[in-house]
Amino acid sequence: MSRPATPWLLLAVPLAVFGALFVLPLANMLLLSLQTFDRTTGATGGLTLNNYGKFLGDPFYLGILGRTLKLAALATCVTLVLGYPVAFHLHLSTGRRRAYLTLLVLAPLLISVVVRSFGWLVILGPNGLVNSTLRGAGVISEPLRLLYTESAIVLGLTHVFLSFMVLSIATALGRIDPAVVRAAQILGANPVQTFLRVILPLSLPGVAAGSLIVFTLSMSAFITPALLGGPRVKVMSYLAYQQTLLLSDWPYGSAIAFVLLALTAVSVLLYLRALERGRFRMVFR
Amino acid sequence: MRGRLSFLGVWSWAVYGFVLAPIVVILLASLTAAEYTSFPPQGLSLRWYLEIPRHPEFLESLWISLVVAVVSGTLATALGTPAALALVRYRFRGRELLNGFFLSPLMLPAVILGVALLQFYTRAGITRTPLALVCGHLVITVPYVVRLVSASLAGMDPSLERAALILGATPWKAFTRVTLPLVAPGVIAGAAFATIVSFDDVSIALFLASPKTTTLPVRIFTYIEQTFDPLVTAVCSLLVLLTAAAVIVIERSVGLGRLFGTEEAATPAARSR
Repeated sequence: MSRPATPWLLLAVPLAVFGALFVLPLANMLLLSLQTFDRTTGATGGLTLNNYGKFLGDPFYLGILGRTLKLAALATCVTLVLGYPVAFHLHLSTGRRRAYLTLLVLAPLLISVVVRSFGWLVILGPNGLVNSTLRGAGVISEPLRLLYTESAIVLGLTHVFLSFMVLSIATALGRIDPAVVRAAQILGANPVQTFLRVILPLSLPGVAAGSLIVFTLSMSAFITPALLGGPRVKVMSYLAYQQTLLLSDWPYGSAIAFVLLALTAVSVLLYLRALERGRFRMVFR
Repeated sequence: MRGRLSFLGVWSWAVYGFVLAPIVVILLASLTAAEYTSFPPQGLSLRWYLEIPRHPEFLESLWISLVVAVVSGTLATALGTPAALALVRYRFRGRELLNGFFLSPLMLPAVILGVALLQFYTRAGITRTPLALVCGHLVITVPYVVRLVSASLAGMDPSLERAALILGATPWKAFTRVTLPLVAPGVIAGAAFATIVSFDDVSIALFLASPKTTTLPVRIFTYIEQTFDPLVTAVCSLLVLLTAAAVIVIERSVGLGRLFGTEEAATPAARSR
């Protein structure tokens, strides 16, 4: 059963496939990002950092980078505010009711992101739910432009990633030892004190994990910002798509992709460091 | 306590309403009789559903999506299951590192993968074929299989397999008659999830698709980017109904909670009540 060669026998094929399909393409992209774009041959020439210089030296591109960060941070805050009470409600429910509520949180994850973002197009569009209602009530005469704005992107991202926040917080709440909560009550804490001094701090690992997931997914989300923001409100992922597929400038598209990757990684590391040093660091051990 | 409970209830149902709103809106808007998408719909009719068969590109794309999803789901299961077995059942140098390696595509933004795969497959000469789509989808589906199968292997008592070996079963027999049936729910969940992830993917397929190999989500995406008429609303609502059917089947057979790994997390709290 435990001859030392066995795990490698099992791993050989998966590793070879992953190496060929995953590692080589990324290495190839890194190489491309260091080459120069040429209209006839695609990418040519020796290695250079020009593509990265072009990005970091241009306020237009830096603005897109800043917007990507801002929208991801906003989406994370909104999902947290919306999701925490939902997670708590889910945590307090029991039996079949709990099963149905869990299904309600999970099921949207299985519906295609394209379809869910499209729903917002119908709601926010010029003949959509919001504009029809406001016009019917006589508040406005001309339809408002709700689509292709930063708010529309934040709304869409919140909708698509909310389930991850709820699940993450509900899991953390489920891990809290009920004896700790009872101890607080026996020692005379009122419900508000119990929540603020015991439950909330102990649920912070779930809040942290959920925020991290929502933030990184929002940073790199493509479909939602592409449909609800479009070319008018570009984010980093759309820029990489545009440069690569629409303008065929592969070296620059690759460089943008790596900037996005590096930015995501740095934000995650900074966030984790902040948690380790924060006031509630003991609950993260 | 009661006051807080009702606040939680009202807030939660409002949020659930927000979650369901776009889906309900699509279903209702697809029933419009008008020439343009509007909400509330203008009149009621099924005319846009009847319009779908006149646009064979949607049906062709649905077929391509299904084939690619089933093939990548199957291959991902065949690759991910032995990998998970090696990673959970054996202790060897570099195990942690390899575990991280197999899960790493999940951390990588899909668009970045799409860009990288397009460039590489063009060099390899396989873009614009269904093979490129399957290869691309393997990268994003194998991690889910590895994770789900690992989770169910970790929950299994290894002494059961040892007992079979002591009682004289060959290692192969012990594996097929004891281990495999015990981890079958994890393998099925992994296969189901891999198939769904492949079917839903846009970010990677968008880069690898050609006019002949456009998957349904990519077809819808590029259609919506141009215009959104009631035809695409009807296609989307059919997709929602298809997904709903899949959700019911999965919930009845394996349980959605297991698919997302929330089952274990939910039980201790449920037991404490």
